[in-house]
Amino acid sequence: MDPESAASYVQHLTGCQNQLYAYIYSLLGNAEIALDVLQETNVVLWSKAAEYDPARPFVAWALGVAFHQVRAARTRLGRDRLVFHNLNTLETLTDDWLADTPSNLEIALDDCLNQLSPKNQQIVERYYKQSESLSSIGKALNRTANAVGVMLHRIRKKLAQCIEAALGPLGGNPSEI
Amino acid sequence: MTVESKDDHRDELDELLLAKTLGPLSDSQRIRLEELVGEDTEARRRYLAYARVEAQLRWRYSKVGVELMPSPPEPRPPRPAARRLRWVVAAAACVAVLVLAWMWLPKGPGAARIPLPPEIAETPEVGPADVKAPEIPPAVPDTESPAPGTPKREGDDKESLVTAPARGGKDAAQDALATPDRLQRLNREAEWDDLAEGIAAGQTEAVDKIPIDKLPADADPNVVWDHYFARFAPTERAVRDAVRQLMLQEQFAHVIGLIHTSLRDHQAQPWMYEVLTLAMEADGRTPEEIERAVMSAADFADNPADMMHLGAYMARLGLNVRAMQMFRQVAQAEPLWVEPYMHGLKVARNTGDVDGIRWATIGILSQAWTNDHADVWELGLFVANDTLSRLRADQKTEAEAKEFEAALDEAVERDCVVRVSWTGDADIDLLVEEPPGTVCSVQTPRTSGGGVMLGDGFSRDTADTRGYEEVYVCPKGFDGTYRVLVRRVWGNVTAGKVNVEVIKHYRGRKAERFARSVPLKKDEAWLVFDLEGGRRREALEEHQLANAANVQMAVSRQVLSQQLAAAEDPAASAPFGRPGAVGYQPVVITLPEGANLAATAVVSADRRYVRITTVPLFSGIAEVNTFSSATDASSGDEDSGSVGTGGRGFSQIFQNQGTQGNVNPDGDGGNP
Repeated sequence: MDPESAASYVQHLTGCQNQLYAYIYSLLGNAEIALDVLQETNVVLWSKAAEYDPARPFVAWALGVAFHQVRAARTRLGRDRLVFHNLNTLETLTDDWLADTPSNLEIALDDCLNQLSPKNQQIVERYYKQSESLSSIGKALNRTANAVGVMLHRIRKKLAQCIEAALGPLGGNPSEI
Repeated sequence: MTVESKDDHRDELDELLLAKTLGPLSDSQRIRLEELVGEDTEARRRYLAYARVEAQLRWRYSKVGVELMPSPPEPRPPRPAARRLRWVVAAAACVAVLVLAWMWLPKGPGAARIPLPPEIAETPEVGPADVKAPEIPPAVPDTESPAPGTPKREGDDKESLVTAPARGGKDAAQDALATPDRLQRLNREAEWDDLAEGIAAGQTEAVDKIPIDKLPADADPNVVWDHYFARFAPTERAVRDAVRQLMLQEQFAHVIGLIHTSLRDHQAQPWMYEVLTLAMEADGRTPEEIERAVMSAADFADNPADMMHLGAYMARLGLNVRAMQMFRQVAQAEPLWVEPYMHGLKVARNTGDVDGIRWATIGILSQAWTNDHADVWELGLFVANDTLSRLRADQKTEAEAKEFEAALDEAVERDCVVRVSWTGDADIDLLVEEPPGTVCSVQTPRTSGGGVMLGDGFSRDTADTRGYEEVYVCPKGFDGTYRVLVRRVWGNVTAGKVNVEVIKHYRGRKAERFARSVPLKKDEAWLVFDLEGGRRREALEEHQLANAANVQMAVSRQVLSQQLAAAEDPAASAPFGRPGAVGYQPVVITLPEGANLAATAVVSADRRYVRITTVPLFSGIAEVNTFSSATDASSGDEDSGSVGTGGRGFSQIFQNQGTQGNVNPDGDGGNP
């Protein structure tokens, strides 16, 4: 691979990391395992750099590779650690992903996060940025852990709705989530 | 019904996703979620939208990005091919984080700007296409660093990554997420690394100077230096200069990082261990951390010399136990080195480590030291005596004293000693050929056979009535025949005779001594003695080679004896149905052909004359015959089943037996 192609490949690879992560996460439902599988996918993608045809869309190709890594992880990890185990489910989910792979998710998410109330923003930041547990956030907000969990769940739903409104639905019409 | 069902599914999915937020799903919940997502398109769409938000939030809040960064403290194997892949992944992750960081920036002309240092803030903005790790010049002289406020030059744009143009207005919440510190750090790291281009192209550039002024001071030093060494191969001098500068600037964390990376990169230099510790002390690290750092450096000391440096340094640092371990390892790898015992003895004495003293003194005393190292022997003897008397003084350690004494007795024993002494104005050289075939002489004072020539003795201007001597000592020798050659180099010895004294098992219980007054006929004298009960059992590398030759000779001798036996009594083995069958061991030797001239020169004692001895040799190979040694020994047919030469010599066979199993090199079918 010549330096120019390599540079372009690296650009593609680095550019779609968040999409790959989101895809893998949605199939596995476990953040930590998804991270591992993302690493493995990156390694495979790099080793297969020479096989990549620049005429094809990179993200679709990368998702194909990631799918195989997810399958391997599914075999390796067994049923109890993953949300989905049926191969058909994984394939169906992948089809839906491939139907729509928006590249401007981050921008939409930015906008949507800004639309949240300060309190909700605080919960998001504490949970994701500072890795606080639900109970710890609950203590700070004088709520129970479950109450915080419900709030977080609603926030995610709101954000998903907001993103869909901005980008269009993933493989369907926008509707209530 | 359908509407109800969809609503039901929606609620059910909602409940399951909430349950997943609150804790791990149960088996039944998991199965139900899978059913819903697999069968209901609407549920799948909602699940994907939800999961996508979840994943994006995790990614956005950089946990993922940070974890993807390489973890530097792990030791690195040598750089090439296989490892590059891991770097690329790490590089990709770094660049991904960089791209994300860029995207969080305030967008548009009215957006709030992140406060920046003046020299960065004044740089012009660049477009998205410029968002990549720019190449750092391999060596940047100090004078090239732009002072704050100076006009920008071409190539300085890389500093402006942080001020990349924005897309769409964002509020202050975003500024809080994309902190200026973090962005600057990422930016400078990317600048330093030159990740995307350099590593992808597989380049490693040698550099004479490390641009310390470009160093991202607020970045993790281990990451920074790991990346730098992955891309560049600085020379030893460059590393030295960089460390010196960093020490002057009191950037101790970077000194530690740079030295660690150098060690991992197999660029160890003797001073590094000391500077590493100094830097760690200055950086306020605990003694435990320092010890750990030095010990981890030991992992990269891949030769005894480096280990010795490290051991000596550990001793200075007060890590005496570790140092002793290091010395013992070195002594094991290099049994003939003086240094491990010397340093080991010093450490053991300082710490009162009796076991260490025992090891070091026995190590010293069990070896013979040349005259240059006579003080080592004396020190070993002194310390051993001192320790022994102290052990004896205490009743508790009496048994230990006895054990030590026995070990010392064994250590000071010498399997054989040859002393040649003479009087008169002359120089006599002593050469001893040991059983493995090694020759110990003044030119080769230590042999793998275990012998040591203590020094070159010859008459000097000052008259010495005691005469002069040369001594060969073999502390632990092999059993076998030792051949002693005494040669006159110059001058005349009194009465033309030298005294040769051979002591076997010197200082041992079976000590045996004999002395001869040997006349020097034709300037040389030979003496041969056999040693039995030699204590040499282990083999050095060189000796293994010599030993292999020895085995070969033994086999040859065996074959020869078989041949001789068969020649003497060909009918002896007839009753066994094997008419004198023997095996042959081919021995490959080189025969010189043509004219050869060997010359040696000897300078006279007064330095006025040079005596040159020339040995011309004219040799030629007259006839070459080859033969097949694998013959049918069991056929019993005396005419056709030739069983080798039967010890009668090759020419005889050719003349008498013609084609029987023999091939002529001329290619005439074996008919010479």
